[in-house]
Amino acid sequence: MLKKIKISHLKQVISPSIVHIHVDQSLNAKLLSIYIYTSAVVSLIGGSDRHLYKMFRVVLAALTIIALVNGETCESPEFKVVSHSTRDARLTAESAAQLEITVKCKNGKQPGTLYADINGQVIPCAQTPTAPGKYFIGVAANTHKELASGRTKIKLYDDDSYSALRKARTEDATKAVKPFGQVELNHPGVSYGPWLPSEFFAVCTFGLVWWAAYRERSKILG
Amino acid sequence: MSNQRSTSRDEDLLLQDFSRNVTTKSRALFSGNAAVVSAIPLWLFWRIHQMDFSSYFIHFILGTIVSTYFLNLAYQNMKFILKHKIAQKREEAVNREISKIFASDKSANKKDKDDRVLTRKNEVADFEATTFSIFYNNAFYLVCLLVLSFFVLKNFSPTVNYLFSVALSTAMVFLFSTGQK
Repeated sequence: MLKKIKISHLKQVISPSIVHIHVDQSLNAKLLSIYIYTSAVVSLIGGSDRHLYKMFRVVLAALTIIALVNGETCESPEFKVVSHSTRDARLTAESAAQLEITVKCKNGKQPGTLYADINGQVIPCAQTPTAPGKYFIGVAANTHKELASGRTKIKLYDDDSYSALRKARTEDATKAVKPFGQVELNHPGVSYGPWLPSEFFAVCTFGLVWWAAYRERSKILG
Repeated sequence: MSNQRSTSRDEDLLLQDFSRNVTTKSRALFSGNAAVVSAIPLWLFWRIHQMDFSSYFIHFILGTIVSTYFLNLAYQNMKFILKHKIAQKREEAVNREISKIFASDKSANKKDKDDRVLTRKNEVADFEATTFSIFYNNAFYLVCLLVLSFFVLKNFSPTVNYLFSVALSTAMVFLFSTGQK
């Protein structure tokens, strides 16, 4: 039966790398619980034995590595993008675009949060619990010209690459950060409609027909 | 006795020629065309001006009936005006046609030939005037309706737009159908 574990004892044996492990995965939760109790047992029973203590620190480090290897890193992500953007400029004054990015990872893991770099601004992507693996980005522009037409490249960052990006202080360091992936926003541009409305062509057509009939009538009556 | 019969027959032909009355066939043709042309703009007002049939059916029925009636009158007016002019223009061609038919018939007399020419001239002029009257009035009606509905009255409410564009275009067609030039 274990005695009540003191926090100070736990801090001595739990390596700092374990702190970053997310505990919502069942396998990691089991591993973490195993070495917390193991370290607690060691500190309470074998705490005076330095050799035993060192051996268990090695074991704990190995378990940490295993836990990290079995962590949530997405490998070889594949992106599928569906984009929607403003098309009509006659009835709207502002442009907006929305991207729906579907991420598929080789190892079946999903990145926790994705961040998108749009025109130099890094913003988090929205997610919905009903569609795991889908990330949404919304872009709004005050005028139609601000939202560039054509293909715009958007870099994506996951938690690790975003942390590295935040830590980068120089421009070179920022550029050196490898993004999680890259997608494209395809905006065909906005339309102001035809120069001449369709009723103009209808009136012209019927007008020509009537004009021909009028000329014929004038010939008959003349 | 036979002279009296032939005289009455001549009078009938003349009356028929100078009468405003239309035959049953022409009447059916005019009414059918007027109804179809009056119903065509309903599609425009339904799909483009967003006038729902269930909400505006009274306006549509009223407009269609009024338009059909006056278009019918316009057809008849224009037909009457055009018929005599067309008869004059086609007289020579009809004479040639009848002369060719009677050239081989030695027993036919001049009277029969003249009657035949008159009848044939009447038929040709009647048919050509009928069709041209329908063609001209339809074209004029649709041009007036398009201009009024999509340019002049486009900023008015759909009800005002429909009633006034149909009424004004029908009135213009009827008014100009009575003109001689």
